[in-house]
Amino acid sequence: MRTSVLRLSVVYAATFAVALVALVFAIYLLTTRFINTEVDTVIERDAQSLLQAYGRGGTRGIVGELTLRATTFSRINAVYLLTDSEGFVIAGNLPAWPVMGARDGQWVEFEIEFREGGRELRRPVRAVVLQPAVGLRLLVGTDLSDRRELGQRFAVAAGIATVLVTLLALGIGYRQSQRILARVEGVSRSCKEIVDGNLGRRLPLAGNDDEFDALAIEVNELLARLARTTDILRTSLHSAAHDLRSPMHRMRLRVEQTLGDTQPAESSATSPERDALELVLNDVDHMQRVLTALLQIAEAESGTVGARPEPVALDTMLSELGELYQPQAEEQGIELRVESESGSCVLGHRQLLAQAVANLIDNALKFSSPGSCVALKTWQADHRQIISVTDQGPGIPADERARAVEPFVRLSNAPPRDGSGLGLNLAAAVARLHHGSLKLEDHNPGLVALLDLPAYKVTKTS
Amino acid sequence: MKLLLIEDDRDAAGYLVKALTEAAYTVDHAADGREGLFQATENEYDVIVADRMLPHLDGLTIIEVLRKQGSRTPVLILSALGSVDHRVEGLRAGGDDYLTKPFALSELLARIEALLRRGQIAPAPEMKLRLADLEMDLLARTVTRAGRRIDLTAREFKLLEFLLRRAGQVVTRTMLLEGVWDLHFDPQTNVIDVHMSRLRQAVDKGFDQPLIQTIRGAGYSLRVE
Repeated sequence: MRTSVLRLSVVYAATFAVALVALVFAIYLLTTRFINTEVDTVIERDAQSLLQAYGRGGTRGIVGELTLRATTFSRINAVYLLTDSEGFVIAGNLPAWPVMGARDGQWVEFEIEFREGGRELRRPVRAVVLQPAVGLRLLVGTDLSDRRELGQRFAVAAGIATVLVTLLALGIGYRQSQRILARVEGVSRSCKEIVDGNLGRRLPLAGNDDEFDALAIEVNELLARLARTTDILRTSLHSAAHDLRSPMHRMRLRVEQTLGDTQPAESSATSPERDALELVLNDVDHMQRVLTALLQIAEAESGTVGARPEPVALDTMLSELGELYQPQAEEQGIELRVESESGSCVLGHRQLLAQAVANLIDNALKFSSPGSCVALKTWQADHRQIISVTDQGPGIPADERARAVEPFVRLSNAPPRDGSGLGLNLAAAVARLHHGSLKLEDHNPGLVALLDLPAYKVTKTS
Repeated sequence: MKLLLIEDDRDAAGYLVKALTEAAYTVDHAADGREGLFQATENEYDVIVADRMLPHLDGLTIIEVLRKQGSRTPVLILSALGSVDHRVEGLRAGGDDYLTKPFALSELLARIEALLRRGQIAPAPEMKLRLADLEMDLLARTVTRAGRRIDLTAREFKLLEFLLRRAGQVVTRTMLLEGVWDLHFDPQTNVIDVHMSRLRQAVDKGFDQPLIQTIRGAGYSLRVE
C-alpha cells in the first residue's frame, strides 16, 4: 500500500509539473517574441527618422541629429554609429565598427565590450545596418542587456515557481492518495473478512456521498442479498437435515426397540427376523454417514460454515492423524510415513481439515497393498501450504482424476466401500472452502492427493 | 436416577422413555420447550436430555436460562443438526454433551452415564488412578500392573487414562475419538478398534484377569468382570 501512495503522488506531481513547465515555457516564448518584435520596430523607426534627417540636411544633418540623440535625447539603451567607407567614425556612441561585411538593411547582433569600475563587461546589441549614401555606413541598434536580464529573471522565477508548485503538488498528491488508498484499504479489508465467511460485515461509509460511498452502498446491497440467500440456503440445509434425520432417528429407535423386545432366551440364538433388523440398522447407519457427508459437502461448497476460521497448526494435526492411523496401517502391513515442516499453518476449520486429510489417508490405505508405503507430507511453497497423501496403489485413470474431486461426482468403477463413499468429494469441498484445491496426480505407481491451501503466517507473540 | 427428556417427536420420545426406563432411570417427559423449562426448574433432575429444535422454546435457550438460574444439572443435547458448528454452539450455550440423531441407544446410555459420573468426580487432582492391580501414576507418567511396569506410547497412556477415569462405564468409539483425539467426525474405518486391541495387548496380555472389556454393539469398558 505504501508504495502505491508514493507512486500515485509522484505521478500526480509529475503530471502537474510537466503541465506547469509547458505553460511557463509558452508564456516565455510569447513574451520574448513580443519583446524582440518591439525592439526591431523601435530600431526601424529610429533608423527611418535618421534617414529622413539625412534627406533633409545631408551628412551634416544626420551627424547633427546623431550627436544630439547619442548624447541627450536618446532613447534608453540606444546604440548609434556613423562611419565612412574606410571605417572612420563620424558620429555615434560606439568606438569602432563592430561587425565586418554587413550589407545595407541587414540585421546584426554583436557584443560590445567596455570597462566599468575595473570590470570587463559585455553587452549584447541588436542593430540594423543602413547605407544612407555611398561612402556612409549607419548602424542603429539597442543594447539588449536589460531585456536579457528580464528574460533570465523570468526563467529563474519560473523555475522557482515550478519547483515550489511541484513540491506542493507532491504533498497534496501524497495526502490525497493516502486518503483514497486508506479507503480502498478499508474496503479491501472488509472484503477479505466477507470472503472469509463473515457475511454480516459491510463496507465502511465515509458519509460524504462521494463515489466511494456510492460504490460501497451498491456493494453492501449486494452483500445483504447474498447474506439473505446464504441464510435461506443454510436454513434449507438445516431443515433438510432435520427432516431426514428425524425419521431415520425414529426408524433406528424402532428397530433397536424391536430387537430388544424380541431378545431370545439364549443370547446366542439368531433368527432371520433379527438378522434382517440388524441389516436395517447397518443401512440406517450407512444412510446417516452419507447424509452427514452430503450435508458437510453442501455446507462447505456453499460457504455456510458458521464458525470463524482459526489458525490450524498442520504439523501437529498431521502427526496426530498419522498416529491415529499408524496401528491400522501396521495391521495392513503398510508403512505410514509422516513428514511435516514445523510452523506449517493455515487459517481454517480444524475439524473439517482433519476430516479431509483423514479421508485422504483412509482412501490411500484402502487402495494400498501390504508392503507398500503411504506418505503424509506438508510443506510450504510460495505462500501456499501443500498437504500430500501419497500411496503406491493402483491410482485413478487420468481422465477420471479431475472428475473425482468435483462436488457429488462418484467414479464409475469405485469399489463398494464401508464409508460414505464421498471422502474425496468432501476433501475437495473442504479445500475449496479454504480457498484452496484438491488435486489428484499420478504417482506412478499410485496416487498422490495434493491439498493446496493458502499458507497462514504465524506471528509469534511470546 | 431421575432424568428429564425434552423431546417433541412423540414416537421417538416414546421409544426413548421406554429404553431409559429399562436402563433403570426414572424418566419425566416434556413434549415442548416451555413445558421442559418449567419441569426443569420445578423438579430436581440428575441429568436432562433435551432436543435442540423444540416448539415454543428451543433447547439452547432452555439451557441458557437454566445456567443463568444457577442450575448445574448436566444437559445432553440431542440434535438433527450435526455439523461441528452446531456442536460448538450447543456446548457454548452451556450444554455438556451433544449427540446427533440418529444415534444408537447404547451411545445415548453411555453418554448419560458419563455425564452422571462426571458430577461425582472429586475436584481434587488425582495423582494416581487405580483399578484392581492396575496403577497409573499421573506425575511420573508410568503404568504398572501387579507391580510390573507396562510401557505405553504417549497416546496409549492418554487412552488408558481416559478409560481409567471412567472405569466401570461403557465408553463408545466416538467418545474415545472425541475425548482422546479431539476429533468430532466418524472415521470410515475402525481405527479406534486397532488402538484398543494394541492397548489390550499391553495391559491384559499375560494376566489372568482381563480389564479391557468389549461391549458388543456399544464400545469398551475398563472393569473387572
